[in-house]
Amino acid sequence: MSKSINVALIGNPNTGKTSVFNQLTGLKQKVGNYPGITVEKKEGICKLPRGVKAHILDLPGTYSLNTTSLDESVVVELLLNRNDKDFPDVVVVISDVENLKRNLLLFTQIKDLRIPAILVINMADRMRRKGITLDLALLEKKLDTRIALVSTRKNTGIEKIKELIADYKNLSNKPNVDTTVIDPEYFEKLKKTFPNEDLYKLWLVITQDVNFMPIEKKTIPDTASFSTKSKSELKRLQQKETILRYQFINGILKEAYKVDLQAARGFRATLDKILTHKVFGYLIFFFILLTIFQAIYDWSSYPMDFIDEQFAAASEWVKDTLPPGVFTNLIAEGILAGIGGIVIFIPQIAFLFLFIALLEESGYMSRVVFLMDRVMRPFGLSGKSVVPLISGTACAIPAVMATRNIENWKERLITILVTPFTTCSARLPVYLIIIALVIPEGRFFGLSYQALTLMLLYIIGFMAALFSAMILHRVLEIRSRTFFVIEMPNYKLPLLKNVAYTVIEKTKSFVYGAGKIILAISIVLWFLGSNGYSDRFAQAENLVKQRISENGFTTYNREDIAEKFESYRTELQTGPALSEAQLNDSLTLKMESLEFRAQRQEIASFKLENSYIGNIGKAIEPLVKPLGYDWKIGIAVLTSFAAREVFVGTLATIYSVGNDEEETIKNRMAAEVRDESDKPLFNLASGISLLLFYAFAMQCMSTLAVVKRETNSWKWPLAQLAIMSTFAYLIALIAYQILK
Amino acid sequence: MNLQSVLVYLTLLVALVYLVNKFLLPKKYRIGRKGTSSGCGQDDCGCS
Ligand SMILES: Nc1nc2c(ncn2[C@@H]2O[C@H](COP(=O)(O)OP(=O)(O)O)[C@@H](O)[C@H]2O)c(=O)[nH]1
Ligand SMILES: [Mg+2]
Repeated sequence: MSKSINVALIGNPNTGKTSVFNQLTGLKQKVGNYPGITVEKKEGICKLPRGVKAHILDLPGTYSLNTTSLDESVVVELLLNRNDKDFPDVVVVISDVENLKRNLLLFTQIKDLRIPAILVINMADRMRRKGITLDLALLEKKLDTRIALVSTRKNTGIEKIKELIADYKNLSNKPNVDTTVIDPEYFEKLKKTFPNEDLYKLWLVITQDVNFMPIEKKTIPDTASFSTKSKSELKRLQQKETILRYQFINGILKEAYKVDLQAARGFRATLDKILTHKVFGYLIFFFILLTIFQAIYDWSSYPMDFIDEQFAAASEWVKDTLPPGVFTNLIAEGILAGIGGIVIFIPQIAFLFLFIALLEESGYMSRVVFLMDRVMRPFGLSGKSVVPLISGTACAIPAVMATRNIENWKERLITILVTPFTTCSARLPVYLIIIALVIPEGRFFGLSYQALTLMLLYIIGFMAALFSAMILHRVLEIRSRTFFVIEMPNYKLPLLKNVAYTVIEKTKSFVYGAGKIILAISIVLWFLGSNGYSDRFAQAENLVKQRISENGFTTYNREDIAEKFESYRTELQTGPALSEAQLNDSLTLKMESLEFRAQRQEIASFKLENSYIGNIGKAIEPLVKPLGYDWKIGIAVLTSFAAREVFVGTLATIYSVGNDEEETIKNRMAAEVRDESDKPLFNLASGISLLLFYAFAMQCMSTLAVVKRETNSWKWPLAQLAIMSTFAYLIALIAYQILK
Repeated sequence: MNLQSVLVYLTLLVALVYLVNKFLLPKKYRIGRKGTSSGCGQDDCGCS
């Protein structure tokens, strides 16, 4: 063991340290594309030429020796401690040929610690495509080191690394940059006080906690002749050091590193600057979101209307064609209504996924992650939480699973817990139908009120997620380390195939995953709605006829009949001239048909009220009444705890039971009136209350199951269910009581 | 009981069995595809 050489692999995140490590040691381990996947210590043995052995250590990704995180301080602590058993005889600095400039900063710092260092320039396979050429000899000379040009992907250059490691004794340990020039006076004093110490090492010890406070703090005590500077002064000096290093690196690269500047690279840089700009970046992101929501509204209305009509027609056709009976009713009113309730939202869901896929495919999503990191930090989330939160607009389940690439456990847990607040596609059907009912159709600067409301609901969802994250960040006492690096993939035109695949896959998973549940629940609900145990249910027809002959129709029906009758009369009078008798005949016939229809509707609604489902709904009505709902919405809300999208199907079934008019779901909902006042049930107050309830409540069995799986305990999903739903109830209550 | 009623009860039974199987039974008692979350689309959406 004493004969083996201690080698440390150090480099910026995602330069391929782990890949090189695997190639050298042959130990199999996971090489992921997630930035900074290396957070623990990985060791291995490598056989070198001439029978020498090397002990290889794969260290966490580091941008520089000026620590900003615990992971980086792991590296610095090792390099500053010559007594550590892992202290490297030689450091292999892994760099990525595309980001050589940034990578060399770290290299020069290690070099200045007088630790023998080899430079590995990885990803050589990319050079041709990027038009990069290197003058290796010149680089070796200027950096005063040996270089291996490597591609772990193409498996080239590994032998060269082994050779150089075996030969490490011949490496120069002269520093690259003279750091003392940033403040000669200060360094002079430092040297006098600690004559036996390496100056750059001292400097690193002093500045170690400027940006980051490690757990064990090393300090240099002030003495009579030497007192250290204030943090801000040190920080300024550190910046000066960085500038100095970049000047040195730029000077070298200008000669040794050539890029055939394709238009694309310059274009990319400019685009990055704009898209991640402190002001424009957010404006653009906001504008893109706005456009998406507007498009979802405008474009999908045509296919949706079409689907709506088709299902109404199909239901009619079934009734006309099949022999009459309860099973025919089940098909027409239960099954078709249930399927229709799913299919009608395919256009919108497909459009939403289309846009998400386009953003991801084009590379823009990574810029959003970068941009949002600034915003997310204060809430205890990382920029990487944006991906789950945005995916959460599709479905919370894949979103919760997408948190797996957040390394910090606390941030990950918080992201998992708050993701269900984001507006998932299952809420979309509920939102859309209620918005269509209660929000007026006007436009505001070309944007419809309805689209704006939808957008607002998405924002509310995000806000709820953010603020609960902030609270959780304070409340949860979990210690864990931070690590955040974003990779910026190149911009590319989205591959149509990938986009199409995502859209189809996600839509399918909505239709089959949620659809089956919705359909099954629709069938059960239809049954509960068209059967009852009470006498009143069995006697419904007689009871209602008796009531009508005694008290007349309900106010709503009376007005409805009068209105329809009047418009029919006007129609007749403006049409071709009729004799008095003809006119009267037509009017009488019309009146009879209108009254017959109203009677049937009242029977249907009476039956429903006394069915099983009516009984259940009535039982929970006291609970939902303060929110502005009647027992019918109460049932829909209750069944939504299985899955939110059941809501519309439930209402469709509830309303169309025993109603053979080919009315669409929406019109039927709009026609609902309150029992006590005959005012429309869906007004602004109850609509907003319902929207808010769905925005906040945890109504998805499947998400709870996934959260259980990801957190490995029932504690978190149950807390989620209880807290979110209680909160939803309170907010909906407040909203209704204020607005009504 | 006529044929239509029989069919209605059958359909109802299928729906109930599906729901109970999906949500109420512990995983090991489930009928059909065990363990894996197949039939749920690629990303498990809508599955437990
Ligand atoms: N094109 C190319 N990609 C590479 C090469 N080496 C590593 N990668 C990729 O770069 C990413 C990061 O590699 P990894 O070894 O995890 O880097 P680490 O974070 O420094 O440990 C992975 O997606 C690798 O597949 C290479 O030589 N060429
Ligand atoms: Mg790694």
